[in-house]
Amino acid sequence: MTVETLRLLERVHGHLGWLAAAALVHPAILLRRRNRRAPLSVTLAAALVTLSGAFGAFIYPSYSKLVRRAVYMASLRHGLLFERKEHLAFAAIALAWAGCLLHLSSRDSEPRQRAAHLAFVCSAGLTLLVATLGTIVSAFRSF
Amino acid sequence: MKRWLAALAIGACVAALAYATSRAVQVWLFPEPDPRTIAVPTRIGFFWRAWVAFYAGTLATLGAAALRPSTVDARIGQLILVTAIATALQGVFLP
Repeated sequence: MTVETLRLLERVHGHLGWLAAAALVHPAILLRRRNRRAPLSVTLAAALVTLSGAFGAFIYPSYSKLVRRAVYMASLRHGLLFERKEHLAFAAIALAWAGCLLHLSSRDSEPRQRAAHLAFVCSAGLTLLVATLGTIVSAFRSF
Repeated sequence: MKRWLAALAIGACVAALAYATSRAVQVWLFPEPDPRTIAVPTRIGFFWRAWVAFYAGTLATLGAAALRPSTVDARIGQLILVTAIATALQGVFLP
């Protein structure tokens, strides 16, 4: 794969990440009201954040070979920011799916509705943080 | 169906906790070599941790499917909160 292609995929990954953050804020707001049903919103939000993560995982081997060391060499702080982004992204995706699945199974269960809302609030917060960290790192050094 | 959806949600939380735990253990006990000293990485730790987390999440899903719905309802909020806090702490303080 050429560097130009990798650069393009990295940009797509970044934009999808911000879109996923926006998409996750939507159910985090909608589900404040108990008994509010939003199956399409929760499913699309979880799917979008997963798609963004899949793009990231796809370019990760090339990033690791071509860019990661350069980032660490230039700035240890930025290298560690990238590590933080990677770990928090995994948690954000897992919490998004937990919220989605709980919402889909919560028609007559208030505790699950509350838990789904909490999961989306946490996932949205983490995704916003991850998108911010990703933007900082990619602005510092990229393909 | 609802039972399995809730079980999968628990599995997702356990996967996130397993990922955070495996990374924390790695940082404390088996630190990776400094990335600045490695010319070409031969393995990617992220994929290994994700795979371990997926395995743990699958096992937790199977276990959670056997729980009573009332037990799930009583604990699921706490599990979400613990997952969010633990993964955020690991991500921030043990990168």
